[in-house]
Amino acid sequence: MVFAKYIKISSVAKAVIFAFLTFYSILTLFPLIWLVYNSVKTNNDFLASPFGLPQISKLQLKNYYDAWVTMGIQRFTINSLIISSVSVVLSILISSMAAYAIERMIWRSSQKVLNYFLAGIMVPIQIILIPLFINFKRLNLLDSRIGLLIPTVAFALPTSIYILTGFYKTIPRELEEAALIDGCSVYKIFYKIILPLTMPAFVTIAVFNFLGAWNDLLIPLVLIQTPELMTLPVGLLNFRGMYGAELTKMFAAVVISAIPSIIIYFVLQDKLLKGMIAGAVKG
Amino acid sequence: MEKAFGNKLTIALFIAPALILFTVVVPLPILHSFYMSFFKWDMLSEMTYTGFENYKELFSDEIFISSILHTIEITILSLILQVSLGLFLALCIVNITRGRKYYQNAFFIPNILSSAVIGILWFFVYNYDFGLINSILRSVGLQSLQQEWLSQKYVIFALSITTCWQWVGYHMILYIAAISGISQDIIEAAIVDGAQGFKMVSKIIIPQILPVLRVSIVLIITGSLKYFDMAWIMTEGGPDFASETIATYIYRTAFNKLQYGLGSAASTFLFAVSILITIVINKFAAKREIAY
Repeated sequence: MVFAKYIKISSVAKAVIFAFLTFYSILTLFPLIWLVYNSVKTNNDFLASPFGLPQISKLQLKNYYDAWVTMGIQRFTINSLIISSVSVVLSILISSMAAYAIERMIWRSSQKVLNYFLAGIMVPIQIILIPLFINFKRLNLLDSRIGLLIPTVAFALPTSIYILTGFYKTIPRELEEAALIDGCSVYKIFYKIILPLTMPAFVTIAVFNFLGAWNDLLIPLVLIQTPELMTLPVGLLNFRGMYGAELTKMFAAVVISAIPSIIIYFVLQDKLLKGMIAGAVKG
Repeated sequence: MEKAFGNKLTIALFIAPALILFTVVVPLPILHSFYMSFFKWDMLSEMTYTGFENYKELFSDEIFISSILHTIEITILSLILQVSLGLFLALCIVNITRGRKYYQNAFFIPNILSSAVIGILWFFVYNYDFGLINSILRSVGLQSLQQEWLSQKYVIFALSITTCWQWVGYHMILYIAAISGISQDIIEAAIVDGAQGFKMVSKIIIPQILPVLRVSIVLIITGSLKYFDMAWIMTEGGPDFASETIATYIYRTAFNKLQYGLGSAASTFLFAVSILITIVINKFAAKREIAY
């Protein structure tokens, strides 16, 4: 990040850059700000003046209560929390074992298996939806949490394995050799030594996969039909279909479903950006 | 070491869960989809083998052909908007120190929101009567510029703008990381040689970050190929199929019309195109890199 020190630019140029960045950042953020302040208006106030700020005396915080309690956003949020958390735990567990076997164990086809997983990064999910839907229907896995978890975890594997194999490369061999001499089994080495060391990488993967599952639309759209099991994105679309006329309440619902992502981002942004850059620069 | 870490059973136990889960959910369904593309089936009646009938039907369906064109349009617009704007923002940001964090966050925030949130929000941004854009135009006296932004005429452009809003920050972050990673020696040498401003960007920075630019271009192309969320949430592929993409076509065919065979044929086509594009880009990009 020393770049700025090397390039000398005039103060006029600097002022232009700041002006542009500030203007563009307002342009970027304004739709979100507009959404938030309209979510506390009455529907009529919004329709009468969509651009105007809400009157403080008429703040409709009730919109949030209605969206959360009466209109089911609470249930969608809980469903999303369950699916996202469980899929994070499962994907970390499964991908760390696979990555460890690929990177640290001694066998001939390990690189081939790694490439097999990595090819999955390029597969558009639309391609597998029809067979998935048909087979899940046969197996009675439609409209079930397990059915939703299976593809969610499977699609999280390639990137997770990619990041973890990269991470395991950096762990010195001596650690495992010493443990082996002390009489540890491979299982114990993995469980007692490797897993604790992998925590930083796990946090990155967890943030990444959590947001992935939290934001995913297509898999739950195809696999879940009953409102009781809907995750937030599908729930919001369902909500729009049912309460589409109560716009400001819907804005409140949209704001609620955006809050967790924003909190996660601000708490763990370094980890998230790291995973993102690592995930993209696999070349 | 060799003995403990080369144990076949141990290796199998570690790799099996991932291997089985991945194989069952990704490669097998791709094959299944290919198989089903030769049948007519609605899940109620018997499956009937029809050979290449589905593919013939697919390519004589005007809506499918136009969905390919829309997908290409979105890809090209996304490439132009996201790469140029992302690069420009990155170049601005690496030249400042104050407020850097704020700007990065501001541009990146849309990327962490779910497409459902973004789609519903932008549906209202574009709305004619009470949308953000038209109400701003009205409030500054430019009523004449009001448009039906999600109409046949503008819908592809409107969707691409929303997608740019969602993704430009992501590509900007990649570019910032790449530019910050250029070695100081190269920059210093370039300065000594008198490289400044535009010359510095075109002769030093862009060639240096070419690998990351390639990744970002691949991501935009593969992302646009499967363009679904925004088109489905904001317009359901409409109005009158004006924003139907290959992905919304697959979804509609299979899950609304219950034509699983035809949908599978379209899926297989999408898969073939994805592979082809990946190969072409890798070949092309490899050559380019040697040239530099």
